This record gives sequence, structure tokens and C-alpha cells, in this order.
Amino acid sequence: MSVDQVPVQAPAETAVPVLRVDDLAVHYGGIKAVDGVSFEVAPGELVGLIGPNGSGKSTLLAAVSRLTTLTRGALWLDGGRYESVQPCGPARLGIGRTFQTVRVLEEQTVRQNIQLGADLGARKAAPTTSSPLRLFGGLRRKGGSDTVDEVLERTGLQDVASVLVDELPYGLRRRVEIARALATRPRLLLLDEPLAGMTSEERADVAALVRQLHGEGLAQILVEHDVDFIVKTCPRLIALDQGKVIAEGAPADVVADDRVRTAYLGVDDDDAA
Amino acid sequence: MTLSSWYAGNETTIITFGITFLLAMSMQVTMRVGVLSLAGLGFYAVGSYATGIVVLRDIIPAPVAILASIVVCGLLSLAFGLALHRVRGLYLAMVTLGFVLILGVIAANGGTLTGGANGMYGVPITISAPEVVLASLVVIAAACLWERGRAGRATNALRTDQLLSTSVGIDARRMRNISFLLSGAIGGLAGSLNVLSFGAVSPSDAGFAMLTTMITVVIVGGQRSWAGVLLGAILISWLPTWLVWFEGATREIILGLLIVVLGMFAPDGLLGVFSWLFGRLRGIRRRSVPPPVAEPPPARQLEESSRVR
Repeated sequence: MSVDQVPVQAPAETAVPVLRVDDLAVHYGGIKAVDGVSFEVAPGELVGLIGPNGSGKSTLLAAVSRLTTLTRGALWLDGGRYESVQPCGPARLGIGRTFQTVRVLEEQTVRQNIQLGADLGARKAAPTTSSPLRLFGGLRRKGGSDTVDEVLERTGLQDVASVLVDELPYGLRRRVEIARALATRPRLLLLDEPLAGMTSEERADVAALVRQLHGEGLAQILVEHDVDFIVKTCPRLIALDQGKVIAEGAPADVVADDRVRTAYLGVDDDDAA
Repeated sequence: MTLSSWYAGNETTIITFGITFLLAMSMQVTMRVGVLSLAGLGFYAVGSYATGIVVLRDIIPAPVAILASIVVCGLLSLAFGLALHRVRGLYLAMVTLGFVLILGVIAANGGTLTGGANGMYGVPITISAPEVVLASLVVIAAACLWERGRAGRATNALRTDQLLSTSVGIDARRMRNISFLLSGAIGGLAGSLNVLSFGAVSPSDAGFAMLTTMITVVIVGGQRSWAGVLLGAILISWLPTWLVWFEGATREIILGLLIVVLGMFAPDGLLGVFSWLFGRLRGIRRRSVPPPVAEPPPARQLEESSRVR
């Protein structure tokens, strides 16, 4: 029984949110990339994050995964504050993520890439006490290889497990990246434009994987430009513009919101033109 | 030629080889986590001089001096790394180069303590080839642990992509600190062995020639593993004896050419060349077309999609 297969919990209001973001701000000099954003993600929930280019979506993900410095704000994962942890902390606490540009170790095989995530997943499953030997990584060569096999199967990568990532098409690389994040046994998965730069077949493929993970009860935040896909996939959307939340709720309502249409869909611009 | 006569003829070269190997390892352990630091040479110089000073004056016995050199240089290196925790890439390389050069100047102007520009002579020789080889083996064993298993995968990932590594919970800062600690400790060890096996140390031990040797070993041998450094150290130590019929300057040119050629065509050094050959012999897994998973998109679309990247 794996830790990450959380059963879908019924009423979101009664459960402790997986993620709670309160008044989060990231300013780069005078640029307010994220400026006072608050929201929650319930267990098993799939939340879509939309907004025009430069609206702060990726920065928000970077802030939640603590890969960028926060100007202010508080973060909770499963009810525990974590905004002051080190950059590697969120991953250890249970936040898995992928990047806008696929980041994989191209000179290694699919299995080796996923093993990197499984190393963390295995440590979470069996936390060792602190000892000098931990310095050398517990000395076990293949900790968490069960996790690797399981994740390979879940993401449909079994057949390419021993292929170098270098040899894979872009769509499969994205899948490897998602698989690596899954192998860390996350409570929450952050996907930054998983469909960007893909062919239509590849898009359908990755979209199906996102839906499958949602079906398995994994909480996810999805940043995506493909409005059609995000509306069909996410039960709840959050729209950002200039670092602030401008609309939140059911996809149809958010997409129909005037401010969203103005900011993101450019309706007014089209009318003006 | 029997083994014992080979040993007799090569004892000094074996010592040089061991010390060169250790010195280059002090650079490789940081390169392995993606940190370009030359500070290992600085701690080599510190280890050499400090050991020479205390042993020459009979303050502490040689074995204790070696251990102290390892510990003190390791801790100094850790402190050095912590102080420079924001400095990255070539800037770090420059700062560490400056550190080495400053140490050279201090050594040359240290008066009677360091022997000034002439260096320090007459340190009792207590180390011979077997000890140097033993020390090398110990460091190889430690490097094996550092390069295999979870730590090995983590350091590999860190060298390639720090953001990726952080996203799977690898503590980049801790890895960097450990690598600085190891670098200083190995550098200090190499320095102690140097002064105790040759009985002398001079400012040139922190000079450009040593720097060049250290970098050459790592680049020519291969930076990814201790095995590469070992190959590089063997080559650089015995190449002069293989090139005996060339004049001094010609040797330098041949060595320089070797570095250029390997740098251009074999970025992973001799080790990279060997493992490539080995892979070819085993007909390894690098397949040109991966087996289809779902429905692989046609080749042209693949090219386009990878170009988008």
C-alpha cells in the first residue's frame, strides 16, 4: 500500500487542506510577480491555474515549492507551516513538481531518472535516524526500486525503462519528469505547463495521465495555457493577473468572468481591434 | 624486468603519482557536485607547510601531523566554502585561484618560518611509496561510497541540474559543504604526504605548475569519477618516462596537445573514452529509436517538438 494513493476524501471543507497559501507575495525589485495570493487545495483536488503570460503563475508555483525567495506570506502543507524551510524542504515534505521546460537527466535512462525521485520516496517511507553513515546515502544501491517499478507502470513507461532519456521524444520526456515527481511520493503535485511544446498526440497522452492521477486521488495544481484542456480537466480554476487572484471557482464561471476575459482571453483587445 | 626491480626504479614516480592523484581528487570531489573550486591546491599548500613546520621543529610526530592536517584543512575548507556560499561558477574558480596565489605569496614571504622563496628543507622523511599508495586506496574507498548509491545519484544530478535536484529533495547546500570538507581534507592529506616523502616544500607547491597539473589530471582523466582521476594521475606521472626521447619543451607541447585533443573530443576524459569503448564492445542500450509506448508521433513532428524546446 503506497503512501501517495490517498483515497478521495469526500467533503473538502471538513478535511485539512493539502495546501494553504496565505497572502503570498514575491517581489523582484519593483516587479510584483505575485502579490498577496491566498487559496487552498483540498485533498485529491485538481486546481487549474490560468492567467496571461507574466501573470505570476510560474512564480506562484516556484514560491509554493520554495524555489524562490518569498517577500511575505505563509504556507501550510497538511496543516504544517513550511514557508521557512530550505529549498529542498518542500520536496521532502511532499510537494512534487515539474518544470515549464522539461528538466530530466538526458544522459541517464528512464529508470535512473525515476530512481532519483524514488530515493526521496524511499526515505520518506522508511525514515532513518540521523547517523554519520547517512552522509553516504545509506549505502544501499537500489533503495525504492519497488517504487520505481510501480511508477513506471502507473505512467506507462515500462517499455522504455532502460532507454536513455536523450533518445525519447519530448512528450515522453515530460512523462518521465512527471514519473520522477510521482516517485517522491508527493502529497501535492505541481505541473507547470505540462502540455507546452507538444504535438497533439503527445498532449492527449499527458492530459490523460493528469486525469488518471486525479482519478487516483492525488492533489494537483496545474498551470496551463490550453484553456480548452484546463476547463475540461480541472473542477476548479484560479485566474491570476499581475500577481493577484482575479477570479476563482468553477471553470465555466471563471472563464466567463469579465476580468478574466479582459486580462487573459483578450476579448476587449479583440473588440478594440 | 621483475616487479621488485620495477618498483625500485619507479618508487619516486609512485609517490609523485599518489600525491598527484590525491591533489586532483581534492578538485574532483567539488567538481562532482558542480562546483568549480581550485581551493584544494591551497589546502595542499597549507597541509605541506603546516606539517613541515611542526615536524621540522619536532612539535608533534609525523603521523599525528598528518591526521591534524586532514582534520584542520577539512574544517578550514568547510569554513571557506561556507563563507563563499553565494559565489558560483567561474567567479568561484577565480576566488579560489586568488586564494591559492595568496598562499603562494605568504609562503614566499614567510621568513624563517616557511623558508621564504627557497622553501623549507630537511624535514625528516617518514613516508615512502606504500604509505602513499595506502592513503590513495583509502581515498578511493571513500570516493566509491561518495559516488555510489543514493549519494552518487544525488551528486550526479546536482552536477547536471541543481533546480531538478532540489525538486527531488536533494540538499544542494549540504552536498556542497560536504564536498568542500572532503576537498580540504584530501588536499591537506596530499600536502602532508608531499612534505613527509620529499622532505621539502617550496612556494612552487602552490604555484601555476601544480595548478596546471591538478587541472590536467582531472580533465584528461575524467571528472566524473575517481577512476578518471586515477587514469589521469597515472598518465601524467608516467608520461614523462614514456616520452624520454623528447626534449623537455617538446614533452610540454605533447602534453598540451593531449589536453586540447581530449578537451575537444572527449569532455569526459580518458575514462569517458574507455567507457564508450566498453559500451560499444558490449553493444549497449543506446538505441536509435525507442520502442513505442502509446502511439509515437511521426518523426518529423518529433523533430519539431524537440526544436520548440
